[in-house]
Amino acid sequence: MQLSETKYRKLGSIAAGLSALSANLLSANAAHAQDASAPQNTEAHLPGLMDEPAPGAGSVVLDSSVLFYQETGGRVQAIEPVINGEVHLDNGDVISGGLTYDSLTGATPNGAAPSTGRQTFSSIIRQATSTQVTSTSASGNSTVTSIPGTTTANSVYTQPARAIPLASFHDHRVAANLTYNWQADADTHVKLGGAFSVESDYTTFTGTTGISRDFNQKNTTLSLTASVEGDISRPHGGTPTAYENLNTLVTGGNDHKTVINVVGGVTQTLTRFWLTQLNYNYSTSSGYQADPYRLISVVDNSGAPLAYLFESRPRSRQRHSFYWGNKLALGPTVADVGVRYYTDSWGIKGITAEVSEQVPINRYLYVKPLFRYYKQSAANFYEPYLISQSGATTFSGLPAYASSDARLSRFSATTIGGRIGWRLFEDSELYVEGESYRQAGTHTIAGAPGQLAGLDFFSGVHAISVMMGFKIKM
Amino acid sequence: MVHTFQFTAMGSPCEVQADCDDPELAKDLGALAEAEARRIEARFSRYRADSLVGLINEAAGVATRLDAETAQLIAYADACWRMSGGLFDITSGALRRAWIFDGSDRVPDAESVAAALAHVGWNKVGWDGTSLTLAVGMEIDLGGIAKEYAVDMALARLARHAPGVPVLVNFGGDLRVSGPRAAGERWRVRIEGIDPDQKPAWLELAAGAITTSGDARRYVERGGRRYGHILDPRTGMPIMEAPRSVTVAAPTCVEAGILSTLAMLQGAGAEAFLKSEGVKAWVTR
Repeated sequence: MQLSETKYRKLGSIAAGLSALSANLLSANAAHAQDASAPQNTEAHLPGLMDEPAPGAGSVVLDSSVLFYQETGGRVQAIEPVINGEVHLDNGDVISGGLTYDSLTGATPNGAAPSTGRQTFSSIIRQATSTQVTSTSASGNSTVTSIPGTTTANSVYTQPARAIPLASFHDHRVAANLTYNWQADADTHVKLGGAFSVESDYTTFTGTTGISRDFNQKNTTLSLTASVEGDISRPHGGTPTAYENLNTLVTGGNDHKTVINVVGGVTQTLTRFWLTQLNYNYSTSSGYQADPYRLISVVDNSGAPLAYLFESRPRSRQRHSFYWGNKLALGPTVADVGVRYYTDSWGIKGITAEVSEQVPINRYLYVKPLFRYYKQSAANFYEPYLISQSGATTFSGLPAYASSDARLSRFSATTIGGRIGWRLFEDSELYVEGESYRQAGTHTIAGAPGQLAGLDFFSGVHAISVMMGFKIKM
Repeated sequence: MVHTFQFTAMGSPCEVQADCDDPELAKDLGALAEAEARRIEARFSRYRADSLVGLINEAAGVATRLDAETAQLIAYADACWRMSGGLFDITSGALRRAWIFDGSDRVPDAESVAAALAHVGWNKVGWDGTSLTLAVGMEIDLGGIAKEYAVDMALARLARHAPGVPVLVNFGGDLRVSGPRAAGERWRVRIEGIDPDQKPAWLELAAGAITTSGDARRYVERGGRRYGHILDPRTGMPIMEAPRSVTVAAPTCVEAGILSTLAMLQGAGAEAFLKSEGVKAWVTR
């Protein structure tokens, strides 16, 4: 037999397309081999093998991972194990769900401006029982002293000079979601989902529904998703009113927020190598949107702190975002390129640009480097501190809203990261993702009064996260 | 050591080789692969009126709603048709009414080719992703995919039953291995000669699949011209100067199968096609 061998090189367009198609065909039907009804002419000595139990009517995909997140400078540390699953039913329906647990510890800026002297933050908190004697205990980094004859206590912590004041915290979060994606007909999918997230002081419930429809031989997909979210804020020690002084007993109870979110999108296959997606997202929220622990300093003309007040934010917010994403198959690699423009009624305008590319090293290994850049303008009520001309203990003429939250300030952020995926067996993958996130923003404030001039107000973070996960299809 | 299990299915000699020390396990694996071959044969054979494909062909003119697996296979065939510019067409079977390749000199006249061609063309079927409607007189034939698909499915089934046991699944010359053999060496595979007078060739592989297309014995000859059995579904005429056989290596059997079929359909351009697609292939002229 005379064989003439053709040379081996980069896959041509048909071979490359077939590769993806075949993977799709074989993985989609992997379950059929399993749930095959026993053929009539099966060997008699193998009854046990023929009724081997199938893992499910269709295939099941499980993805579990653990995320380690660390901000430099001893700020926030988080560990987050996640498990997600998808069950693909034989009729095309998909049930998906996930469970997340978070453990967060560390310290975050409490909102007060830095100062040239040490700053002491003293607050009155309720205690469970009345004690007649003075007792002292430590809670986080603060010292709690009972006030005799009352059910209240004085909680005090001190922060060093010239530093961004921090408050320590520790919290857990448990979150879960479940979605049923129903294949209404060959081209139409309808989904219905629910999710909740519980922290010690915050609970969120979300209900989502959506429809997507394929047109033009599945080359065009239109989708519309709407969700309603209800939040309950239960701050430790009650919800402070706007500009309530830290050194008073907070009497407010719980508060609520409602968010309605709508996303409309179109996905279009432009060529076999280019998939593009346009999304518009509108959300409107009303209710309590402030951070119940966040302070803002009131300083006098010399920049010296007069008081620490709880921040004040509007009770409504409308957000719009426009997203344009592309998936490009460039030879054996797949690139994702996307930009997002964001604007909201608080005056923030942001833009995100993201590029990532999945590069196969061999059949079992791929790498996916990622780069993301984000830049935003400040909210129109962002103030690093408030100045009181009077120097009194009650302040008049404060703006309606003010917050020193760095997330509402003007800043930019760069993320550099990547993912390494390793196909262990036919249907499983081990992956490691790493990201370095670095914010850049304003350090010193031009025209700051007295002692505040030259102080570093920048509280942006540099965070490193590592995620390890394992994905398996059964 | 390698245990071999043999049976006949889909009109071809089939075998499963398992590289393990447990002969009972090897036997079980062989039986599992056979069950899978028979399951797919029962569903997709054109020769069985009670198969799904038989029922679809029977129901010409009426929409047949397909189960998920069949729909996936049809969608795959649909994608291959589009990708190949209409060269790969599962409706081309109707051309066999005009052409009978028995080594004789019976070349059909233009009218009978045109009449058969009227019942050929994937663009003439109704296909919405779930339901398939054939025009009266049309038929589909998954013969170009089903055997390869059976190899891939059987291999997946064996991998689930006995993960890590190196196996080779060979259904009538379309074969795939799970990976290298137990000690890391390659599998040695005998590729049968296409012509009876040819000697078999040996190939070695450690991963992926190999399929061979071609049958040099099937032709008609007239006026000194040899018309091979590979028909162009667009013209209804045999592809001239098609290779005697094309053997292609690819990660999966379904990929290799389509590529070797498409290469045959390129006729004189088979080698150039394989080269431009960058696949490892062996061509016999």
